Amino acid sequence: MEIYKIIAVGLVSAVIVVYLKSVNSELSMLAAIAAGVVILIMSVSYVVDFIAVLSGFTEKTNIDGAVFGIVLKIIAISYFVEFSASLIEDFGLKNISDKVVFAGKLLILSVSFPIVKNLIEVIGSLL
Amino acid sequence: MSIDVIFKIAAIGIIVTVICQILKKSEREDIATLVGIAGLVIVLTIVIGMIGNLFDEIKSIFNI
Repeated sequence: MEIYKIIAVGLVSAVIVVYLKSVNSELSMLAAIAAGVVILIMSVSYVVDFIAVLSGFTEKTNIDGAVFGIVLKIIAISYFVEFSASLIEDFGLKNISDKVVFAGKLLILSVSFPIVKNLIEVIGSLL
Repeated sequence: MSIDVIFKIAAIGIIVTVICQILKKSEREDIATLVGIAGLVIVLTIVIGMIGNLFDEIKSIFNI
């Protein structure tokens, strides 16, 4: 199972970060960032085949590609925001990570606006 | 791109700390700080390279 590898990487890097902190070098922060990146890169490969299946569905049910593209963009934005916000919070700067999360939400809202627009148009045409 | 990067960073951290201790004992504080900064810069470049290709990978997957 793949999940064991990721758990092993997480545990080992946690031990290393704690050890580097005890040696009180600033590298422990960078080791924490590197551990986060390694785990994320491992988990990214699972998303690939998930997306292939989803895009297969969109062809079948003739939903136009734009909507699916927007959904993908929203997932990507949340991926970036989650990575950087938890990273910044690791440094103890809670307010900056909150701002990053807030900006991410605004961005997702602005990206998903076309869907809301044609939803309203559909409702309008029904009335 | 798996666990060996983290081991590399840990090794750099340990080596830098040992060298700094040695330099401090031989009353060369300034060189000790320089070694510390050098270690930090090396690890920084490694980590930034990793973040760079993480973001490229995400971009290529979500084809943005």
